[in-house]
Amino acid sequence: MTELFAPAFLRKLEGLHLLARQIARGRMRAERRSVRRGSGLEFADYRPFSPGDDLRGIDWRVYARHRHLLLKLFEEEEDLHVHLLLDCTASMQWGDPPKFDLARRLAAGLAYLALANLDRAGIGPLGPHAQRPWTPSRGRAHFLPLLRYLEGCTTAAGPGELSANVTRWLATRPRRGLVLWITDAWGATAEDAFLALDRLRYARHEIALVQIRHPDELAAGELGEFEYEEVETGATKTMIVDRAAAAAYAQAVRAYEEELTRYCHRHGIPLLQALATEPAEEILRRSLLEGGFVR
Amino acid sequence: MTFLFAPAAWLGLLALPIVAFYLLKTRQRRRPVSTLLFWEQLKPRLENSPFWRKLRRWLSLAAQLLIFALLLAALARPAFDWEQHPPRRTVAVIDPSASMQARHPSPSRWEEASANLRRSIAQLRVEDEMAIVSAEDPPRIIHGWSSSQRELREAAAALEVRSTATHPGAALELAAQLAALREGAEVAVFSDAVWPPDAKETLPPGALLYGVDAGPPQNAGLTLFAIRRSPVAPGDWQLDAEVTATDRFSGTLELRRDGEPMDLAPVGIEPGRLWQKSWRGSTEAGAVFTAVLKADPGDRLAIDNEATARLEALRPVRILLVGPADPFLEAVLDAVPLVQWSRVDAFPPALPHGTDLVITRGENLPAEPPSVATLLLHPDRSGFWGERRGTLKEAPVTDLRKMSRLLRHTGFAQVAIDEAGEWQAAPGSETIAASLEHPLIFGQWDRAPRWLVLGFDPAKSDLPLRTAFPVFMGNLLQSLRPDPATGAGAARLPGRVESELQPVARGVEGGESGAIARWPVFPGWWWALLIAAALLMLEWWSYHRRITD
Repeated sequence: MTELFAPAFLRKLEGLHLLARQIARGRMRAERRSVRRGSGLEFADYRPFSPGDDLRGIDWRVYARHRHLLLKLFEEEEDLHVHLLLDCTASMQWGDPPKFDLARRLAAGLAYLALANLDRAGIGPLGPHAQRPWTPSRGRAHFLPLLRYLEGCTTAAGPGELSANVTRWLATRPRRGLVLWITDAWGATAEDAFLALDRLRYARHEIALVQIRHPDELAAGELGEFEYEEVETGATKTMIVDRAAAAAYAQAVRAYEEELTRYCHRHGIPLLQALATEPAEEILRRSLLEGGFVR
Repeated sequence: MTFLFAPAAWLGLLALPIVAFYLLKTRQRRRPVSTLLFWEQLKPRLENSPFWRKLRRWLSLAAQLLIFALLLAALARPAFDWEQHPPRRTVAVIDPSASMQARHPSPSRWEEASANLRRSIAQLRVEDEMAIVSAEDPPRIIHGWSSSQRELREAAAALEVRSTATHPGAALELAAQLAALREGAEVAVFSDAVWPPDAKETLPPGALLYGVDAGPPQNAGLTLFAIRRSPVAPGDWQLDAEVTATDRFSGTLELRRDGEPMDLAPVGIEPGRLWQKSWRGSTEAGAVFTAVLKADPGDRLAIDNEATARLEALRPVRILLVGPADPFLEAVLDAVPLVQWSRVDAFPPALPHGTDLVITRGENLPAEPPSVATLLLHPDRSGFWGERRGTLKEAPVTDLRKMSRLLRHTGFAQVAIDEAGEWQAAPGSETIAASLEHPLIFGQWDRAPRWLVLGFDPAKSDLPLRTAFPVFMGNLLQSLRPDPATGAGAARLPGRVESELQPVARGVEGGESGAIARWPVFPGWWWALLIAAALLMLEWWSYHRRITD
């Protein structure tokens, strides 16, 4: 493997898998509860009996008491599709180290945990340029090819909204499952990221968000007069930044992140905020302990 | 104004690279960011408008060029007109006399004169020098010639005003001597010019008198408050008080004895007159007398409104007579009050404690001058007092030192002496009575050791039958008592000249306090640097600190 996925990192993924197993408490195969009602073991609901239904499903105790034929419904257990959406816009390549490196390591780690849990893991690169997605596949045998795929992922500059990228991915009609969106969530507008999340929700995907920021993005940096150039679009803005402007910038960043946190909390979306300078294994361990990313 | 180093202007060419570097430096730096999302959210500010950005950049450049020009100006050593004057040498004479404590209503003349002196010090240039003389009695050089403002300021801060009168003559003479040490030196006098009338003549030619804004000399004050005992009757005392005023005055003088009210005397003074009063009494005990003059609210000088005089307690004079009994002498001693005497036949090896006077006669003579006053009556041989060369018959008293307090009111010239010793007085002694240049009464009475020789036998003269004898003995005993004219018997008061506050040289000869600039002087390069520093701070604050609020 290359420097991006060092052997030490890959060894730590196994340890993370064991931690995930302890948390998940011994599931033999994909035990993801499906929205479909089926032949699982866990009771889900009642519905009136209709001709053609399996007679074994009738709750005879209810019939004895109320003289109504009610059919017991059970949750069907099926393997889970884990869609790892990787933000490949140019802003992910910003900073030292680039956010994109950490994003790919996190995608690899999460994919490994999904594959080890007998789930199907796929990669969806979201960016202004066309990149072949990694079709959801199951089994650890697919992990090394997946790593090679991630190494080949690139970012590209160009106009692109997060919501538009998500829309394009949804247009491929992916099977509903768990969407892990790894992005910096810096949209073209203040509402762009929220619009993208809305679209994922409307598609009835279960969503988890990993927001990666660089520490230098959270503050205005050096004071002075600068021409700020956005790496994605090349748009510029000239500003005289003094202490007040720097404070206003930091306040704007905080307000945006607080709004994002409130949104995720309101809609039950697990949110993991990480810095590009943090080790990927630490972020993955945090994701396991905080919950929401591994079922 | 001229520039002492004009070639520094060539350094102005450095402005060109400064402008070039400035334009290069102030090109906007490009800074890539991951998103403009948050920059776009910042509220637009006036200072962020393109016009303001351009304007402030040019303002900054203009400020920096101005700073550079000021630095160049400092290097070129600009000189104001006053800087081109030759070095000034000044002897500052400050008057610390009592009248300088007068207020009008505040500050005092002393404070104003001190402030004038400090301002004069602050205006010294590097090449100027100053010396400071305090017109005390005797005058004192506070600081010699110096160009150090710090040293001169410290010396001036140590000056103190006095409560007595001073005559500036000696100080001005000393200042003239100091001025002679420097070429072109001048004398500056900081005083209210309340001096004795003859003091004005002592002002050196060309001296500058920096007077003070004295205001109307409205004052009334004690000029004398003294107590003394009678030389004849030591228990009797007389207290004298004298009050003067610059104008018509009507008030009261409150007198206290040992803190208890003694008298409340009305004081009325016509212009040009004095008010005087005496009090008499008799006591052997001591007392403290205090006088307080109730002056008008507008009274300028406070220190002459109150005075204290101390009357010392009397103690008896202890006399030891050595030799055979002398009825005439013992009778005289018995007649003088406050005298205790005793007699021994031979000169004792050690005198009794507390002895004030030893009187010996004949052969009972000390070998060395005793530690106490000694009266030798007709010694029969030579000794430390002088050499006896023989005997004089019928010696008339021809020479008398009438100013001697011992012979006061004695009438010694009438004494008939049948026989006297022919004496050669010891060197350094003083002859107060002589017969045809032969000393009759001589000795050393005005300094220690005190001894006096009566060079004839009183029994062989008519002295015991004359009043001169008890008067002479009384004078002798009185001289052993403290001088009533000295010590705490007389209050230390400023005196009539100081209390009347009449200047003898009002605002004279080119000097007034207003002639001294209020602000210290600084050379032109200093101002250039100061302005440059201020501009630098302003430019930094408004541009490099990037104020946009």
